[in-house]
Amino acid sequence: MIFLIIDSEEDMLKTEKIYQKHRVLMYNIAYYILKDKHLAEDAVEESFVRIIKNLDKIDENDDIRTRSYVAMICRNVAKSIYNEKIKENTADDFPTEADEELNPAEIVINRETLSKVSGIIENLSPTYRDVFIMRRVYDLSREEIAESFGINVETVKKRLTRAKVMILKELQKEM
Amino acid sequence: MKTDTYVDKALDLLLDEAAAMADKNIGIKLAKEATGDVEFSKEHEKRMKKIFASAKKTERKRKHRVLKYTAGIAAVLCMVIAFDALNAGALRIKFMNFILETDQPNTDYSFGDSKAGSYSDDEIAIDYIPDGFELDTSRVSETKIYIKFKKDDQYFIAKVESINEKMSIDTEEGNAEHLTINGCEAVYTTNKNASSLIWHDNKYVYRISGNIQKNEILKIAESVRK
Repeated sequence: MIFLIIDSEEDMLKTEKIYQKHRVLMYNIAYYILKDKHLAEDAVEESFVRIIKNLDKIDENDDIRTRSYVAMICRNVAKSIYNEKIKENTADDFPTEADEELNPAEIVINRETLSKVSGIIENLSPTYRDVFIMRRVYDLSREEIAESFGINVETVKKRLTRAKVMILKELQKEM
Repeated sequence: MKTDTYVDKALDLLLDEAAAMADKNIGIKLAKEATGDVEFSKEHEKRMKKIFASAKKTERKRKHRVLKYTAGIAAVLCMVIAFDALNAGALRIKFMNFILETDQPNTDYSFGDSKAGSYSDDEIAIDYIPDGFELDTSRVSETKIYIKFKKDDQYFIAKVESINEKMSIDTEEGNAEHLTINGCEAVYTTNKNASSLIWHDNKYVYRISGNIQKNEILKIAESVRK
C-alpha cells in the first residue's frame, strides 16, 4: 500500500530556522530601502509568506545561497512596499534606442569568460540581477518570480531579456 | 541554423554557471550585512508566529486530505481482514496490495451468453449492461472472473476475484468516495484514466471499472450477482 504521508514538521522547522538565521540580514536590507522600522518588519513578514511558497528551492544548510535567496526576496518585497507607500515611478531604466545586434558566436567561451560574466552579473542593478539569478540558479518559473517579487509576469520577462542583453553587451566591450 | 542553436545552448550554459558563481559571491558578501543589534518588536514576533502557524495549518489540511483518501483504502482492507478472521472456513488472506497500475485489456477467448442489456454465464450474472455495449472479452479461472464490454471508445470491466487474490487500483492523482453496494461498503475512485468501484461480500472482491459515467458504474455494480 502506498501512503503518501508527508511530514510537515520538518518544513516548519526549516522555515523557522531560516528566519532565525537570516532575519537580521533581511531587516537590514529592508530598512536600507524603507528607512522605517515598522515597514522593514512588514517586509520581513511578507518575505516569509513568499519564501514559504517555494521552500523546496532552499537548502537551509547552505547558508551562503540561502542568504542570497532571502536577500533577493526581501529586497524586492521592500521595493514593492516602498513603491506602494511612496508611489514613485517604477519604470525600468533602460535605453529606448533599438538594441545593437549581438552576436553570441563572437564570444569566446572559456574559464576567463566565465569569471568575467560572473563579475558582470554581480554588478548588474539588483532590479535585473535578482530576476536573472532566480530564473537561472533557483529555477523559479516566471510566474513564481512574479509572485515572489510582487511584480507582473510581463515585467519578469522584460527584465530577463534585458539582463541577458546587458550582460552580453558588457562582455563584448571587455573582449 | 544548427550552429546558432549550439552557440545559444553553449551561451545558456555559460550564463547559468556564471549566475551560480555570482549568486555565491553575493551570498558571501551579504554576511557583512547580517550583523548589528536589531530589536524586533513584540508585534512583529507575534505576526511571525501567526505566519508559521498559518503555514502549518495549510500543510495539515493538505496532509488530512491525503490521509482521508488512504484511510478509505485501508478501511476496505481492514474489513476484508476482519471478516476473514471471523470465518474459520474462509480462504486465508495473504495480502491485498493496492499498487499503481492501469487496467490492460487481454485478448483471450470469449464465452458466455450476452443478451442485450444483461450478461450471464455459469459464474456471474450482470443484470444491467448500458445500451450499445457489447461483450469484448471474458475469462474465467478458479479464482478470477474478468469480463470486458465495449462501445466505440468506451469500455467497462467487471472483475471478480477470490478474497486472497491481489487487486490493483490506479491511485495516481485520484479521489476516493465511500458508498454502499448491495449492502456492502464500497470505495469509488476516479482519476484521469478511469473510474473504479470496489467492494466485497466476504467471499469475493468485486470491481467495476471503466471510462463511463459514475451512475452507470453504480447501476452495473448493483446488478451483479455471483
